[in-house]
Amino acid sequence: MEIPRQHLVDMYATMVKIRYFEEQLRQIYFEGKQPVFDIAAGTVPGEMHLAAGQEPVAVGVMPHLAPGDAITATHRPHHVAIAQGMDLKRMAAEIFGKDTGLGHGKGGHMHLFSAEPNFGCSGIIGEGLPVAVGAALAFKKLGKANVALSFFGEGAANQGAFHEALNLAAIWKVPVVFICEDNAYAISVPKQAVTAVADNSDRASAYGMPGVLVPENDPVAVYEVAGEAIARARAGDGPSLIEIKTDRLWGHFEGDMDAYRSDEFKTAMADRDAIAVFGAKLDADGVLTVGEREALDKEMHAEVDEAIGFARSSPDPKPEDALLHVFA
Amino acid sequence: MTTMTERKLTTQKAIAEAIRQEMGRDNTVFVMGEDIGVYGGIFGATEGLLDEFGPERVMDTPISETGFIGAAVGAAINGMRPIAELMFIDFFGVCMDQIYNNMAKVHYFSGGNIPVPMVLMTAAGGGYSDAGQHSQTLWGTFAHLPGMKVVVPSNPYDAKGLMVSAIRDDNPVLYIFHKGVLGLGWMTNNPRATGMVPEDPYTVPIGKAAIAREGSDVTVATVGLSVHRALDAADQLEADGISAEVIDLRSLVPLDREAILDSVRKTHRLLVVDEDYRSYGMTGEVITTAVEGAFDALEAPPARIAIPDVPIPYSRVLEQFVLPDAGKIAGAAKTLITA
Amino acid sequence: MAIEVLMPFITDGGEEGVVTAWMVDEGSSVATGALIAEVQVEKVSQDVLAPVDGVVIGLVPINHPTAQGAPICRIVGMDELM
Repeated sequence: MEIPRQHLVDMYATMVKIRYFEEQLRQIYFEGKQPVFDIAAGTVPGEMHLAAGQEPVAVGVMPHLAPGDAITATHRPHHVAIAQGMDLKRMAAEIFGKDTGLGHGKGGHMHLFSAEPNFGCSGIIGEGLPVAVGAALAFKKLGKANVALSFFGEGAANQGAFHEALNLAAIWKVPVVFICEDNAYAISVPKQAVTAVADNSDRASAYGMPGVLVPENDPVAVYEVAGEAIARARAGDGPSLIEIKTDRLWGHFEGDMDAYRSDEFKTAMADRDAIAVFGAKLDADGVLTVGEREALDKEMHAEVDEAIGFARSSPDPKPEDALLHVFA
Repeated sequence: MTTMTERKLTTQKAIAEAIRQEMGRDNTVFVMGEDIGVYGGIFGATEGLLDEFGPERVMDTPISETGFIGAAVGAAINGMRPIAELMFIDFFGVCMDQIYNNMAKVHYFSGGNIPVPMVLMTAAGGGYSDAGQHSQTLWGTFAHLPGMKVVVPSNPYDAKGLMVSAIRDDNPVLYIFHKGVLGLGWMTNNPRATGMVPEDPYTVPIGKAAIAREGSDVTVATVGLSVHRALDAADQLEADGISAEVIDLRSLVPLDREAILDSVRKTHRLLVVDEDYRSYGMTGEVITTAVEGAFDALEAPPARIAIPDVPIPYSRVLEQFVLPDAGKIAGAAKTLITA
Repeated sequence: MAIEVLMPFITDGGEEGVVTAWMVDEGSSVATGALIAEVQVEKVSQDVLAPVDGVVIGLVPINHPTAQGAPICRIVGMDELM
């Protein structure tokens, strides 16, 4: 597949943006939580699930999206939201719990919701799969050319909602693509110990849809497979399941000792860091020079810094605003 | 040629008419659930709709409550106004995450930016020996959880109006119909299940109670089939010279606390009747409302009748023992009067 | 001229049916096609519609066993009531 240069450049830039955003958040998260880790303390209290290493899954999909396409994601949502084009300032502000955030601080990092881009995520494993099916159902009923994407982890593929959602998507033949991010560990539990099949893409045939495995954490491979699946959905040919073997570079949550993964495992992940690999490939292919990459890095970093600055300087919501927005 | 200006419907037919009329008015309204298409709903809530609107808008689903209720949320977020039926409210255990953690919270998490205009309708209630997993009312559990409106009609007029309101409401509305108020031919006959229903669409406001019967000596507050029991009890009490005021709460969320307080200030005595479990539920909420807002008006401690914290038993004599009935209501009211 | 409205033939077994709900009262005016009752034979329910315009009288009681094909009520012209 001939990939337009701009898509390659955009994918690279977005990977850099995501990684830098996650790195910044990782530092900020520990502000106020040292030397004693108190989860309730600091600039960003609560849980934090970062997606460093999983950038290819998000960026490979996004060039195929159209305005209005719906995405549901998980408790580890930042890379997906950023790749979809989320307003970085309002997203950062929401993560910081500020009034200027996407949800006026009511959702936080696991409950980011936006109408444009059409995005939602949840802290409950598997909850977003049926929602994506419903979005796709609405698009079909309304005669829209939009598609819905559901991002979830390999652990979620053992949750009942996965099985119900795939079956429903197939019998209703709706334009949804199920994207399983296989980062090999559901918190601390490895995939092979809890999954009855070798790969979740094998499960697709049980639900009457095509299933494709992307065996490496490569944005180009994701781009090609996702492109086919999204085109298929948009053409009215129904749902697909894609599983992508990706790398969760850090722990499940920030503060996770990550002792259940061996040093060898972690070293291997670091050695194949997708950004370094992709950057080198673009250089070798003459798509982006080192100088151009450095310029992009600076631009992306500046955008993230600006968003974080906006979040830091934004006001908290008024306490009594907690009572607002229960009902429309 | 003379034409009908008033006509009666059973509650079941009133619900189906409301849905039919709203589907005719608004193309984004559609229904899905188990057996709601060809069968017309196990309790008839969607009778006739498949023939009129076709399978695209009246969708028989697999037994996948998490799947199709979650799909209803996704469809509601994306421009449709779905009505999803949970066949029995007792089945909520298999899909509760989609209801209370998803449907009920998206609007709040989004800071008010993303409404979820859907109706989740469901059948509740016992008294016909369907035993512990098919006879519960459970509205207390749902009313307790923030983010969804909860309505419980007791009669045909309210059933149609509340369904129209629920469909037009931009919030998630849990519409609970007690099987005993539907007027189904295969259930024990209930004269109060048939009543005048205007042919044109109309709304009954969500969040407003109704005075089902005015009275002056004691307030009996309740919902659903227990409204019928309370009205029967009020007839008995009248023969004994006691004037009971029966409040049909109609909505549990929002709860019309002012109506409760107005009545208690008038009668000074409160009896709350609930076909849900006694502890940690609706009776506690209504009594506390009265204590908080009209303590000085009370001339006796409020009383309550509810299911005594046991699973609903099968055997008829056992089930009748645990359910509220007119005799228990009249007895409790008399005790309140003489207290 | 009175028209008898009959318990419909729903089953082959000759069972009696009942009216489970009346959508009209004694003396109500109806138009042709209006829903006037819900009846049941064994477990099968059916709606009964008014075959003519007129006034409904002679309603059989709810749950009163009535043979399939036997009258459940009559519809008379307005003028016949004068």
